[in-house]
Amino acid sequence: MTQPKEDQRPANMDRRKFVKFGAASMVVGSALAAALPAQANTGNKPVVGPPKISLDDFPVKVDDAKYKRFHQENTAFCQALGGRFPEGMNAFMNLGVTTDEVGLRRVDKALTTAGWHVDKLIANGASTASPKTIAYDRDVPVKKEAYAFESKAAATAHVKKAAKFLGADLVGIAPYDERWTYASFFDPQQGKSVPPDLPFTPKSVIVLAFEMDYEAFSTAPSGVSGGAVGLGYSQMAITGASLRQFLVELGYRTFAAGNDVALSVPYGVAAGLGEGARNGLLVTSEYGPRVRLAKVFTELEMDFDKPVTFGVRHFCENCMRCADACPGEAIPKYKEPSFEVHNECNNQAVEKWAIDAKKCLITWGKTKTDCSTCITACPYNKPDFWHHRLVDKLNKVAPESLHSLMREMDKLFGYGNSFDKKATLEFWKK
Amino acid sequence: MILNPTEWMFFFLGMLTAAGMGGMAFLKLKYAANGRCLALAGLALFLIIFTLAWSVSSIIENEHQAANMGLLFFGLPGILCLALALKQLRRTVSTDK
Repeated sequence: MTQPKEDQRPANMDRRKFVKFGAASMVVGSALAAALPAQANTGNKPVVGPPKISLDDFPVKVDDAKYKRFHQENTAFCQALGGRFPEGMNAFMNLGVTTDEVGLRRVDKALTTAGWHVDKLIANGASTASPKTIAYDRDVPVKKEAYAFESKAAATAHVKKAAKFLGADLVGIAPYDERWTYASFFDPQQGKSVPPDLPFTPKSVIVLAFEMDYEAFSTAPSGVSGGAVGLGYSQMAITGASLRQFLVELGYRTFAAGNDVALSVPYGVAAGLGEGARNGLLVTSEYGPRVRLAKVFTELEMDFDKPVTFGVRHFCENCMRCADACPGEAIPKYKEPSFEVHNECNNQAVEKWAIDAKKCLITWGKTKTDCSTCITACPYNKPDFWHHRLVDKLNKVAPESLHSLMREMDKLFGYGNSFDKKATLEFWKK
Repeated sequence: MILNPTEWMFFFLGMLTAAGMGGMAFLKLKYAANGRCLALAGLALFLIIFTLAWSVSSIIENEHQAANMGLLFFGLPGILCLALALKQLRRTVSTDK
């Protein structure tokens, strides 16, 4: 066997160089592996959201001199049910209509009814929830001796674990803040307002968020997305009532609430679950605005979570996808949040993007569904996959000028389409 | 333990990354690839693996348009980098000869 001449031999490495190159490769490989966030062992459960910054104070400006507690009867829903907003009532009547159109067929609308079924049985429609229901009863008998937790931190940990075990996807704890409690409650059974009587003054408010199905929401507005909404309300009632039972078993007075008793979005913000967005909803880092919120009021003292920010407000200032997608033009297009309001449906003296709730409800009637296009269109509405978390992180560090580009890329990549009949057909195929 | 589609994807991408790193070592050992060639090959490897991860994830979440756009936006630059790396390698080899 002839030995190749030295100058013709392919470049070779001695053992020392080979080890050095191998080590360098390992370092680069590890860096590459680290760049792909580990989703592998967690399925579709939240791993990590975009970077959050904790805040010491409530991050929304409230003009205390002008602020007055909001009356529940002023919500568009209660006005419709109470006869003060007939167009709203007509919209409600249209929600049951079925047609041959994909998304509004009997099979699609049956899913809406099925999703709401448990809520109807135990909460009587949580939009205006009533204390005279199994889920939202405010006078549940309490065990006599209160269970003594080792510390507030231990109580917090146990309650959060129980809430997740009982079905909540996100849990935060906020101090009771009377500003967000309705100035008067609306009783849907009597169709009128009643005094805001609570059985006790709560010390803590456990705020629960429930994810709604991403695939169902890609069909919005349709009976299928309505099913996801209904299922969210049913879950609110089940978990809210179950968590209440957990606490009363431990000897602490507790009651659960859906959309009743107090405003949910400020509590979601205060409990560190997310930020208020242009579409008037709470945007969470894990699921975007695709969540439903419930509250559990208790006399148990716990450690409170801090509000957080992960860049939603700045992103909303430039994005406006929800405002463009809204078929009722109910979402404002001015850049920065303000104290401007549309009508009595808005909580005044709070800096935000105020939506026109009446236009919103009328659009429900026109689409014959509970719409939800603002949730579907939102760029934060993504399933919990690693690449969305990566983009979230980029959004956080990207300068404001790039947010419009990110919005266009989001559209280009096909996310957030609404009125997509194909999505409904696809939903039923899988 | 049964793996879900995402877990399978990361498993195969891990194997592909290892193979890619091996390939780069091979280029260095066998053809004495220079730094520029290895940098281009490394970038190509990263982009191609990122493309596969993005597109497969998008298909798993039923967002086909996002999968296609991922191929275009990240895959195409990856292939270009790979072509440039090969061109650089060819030039290095021919210079050595």
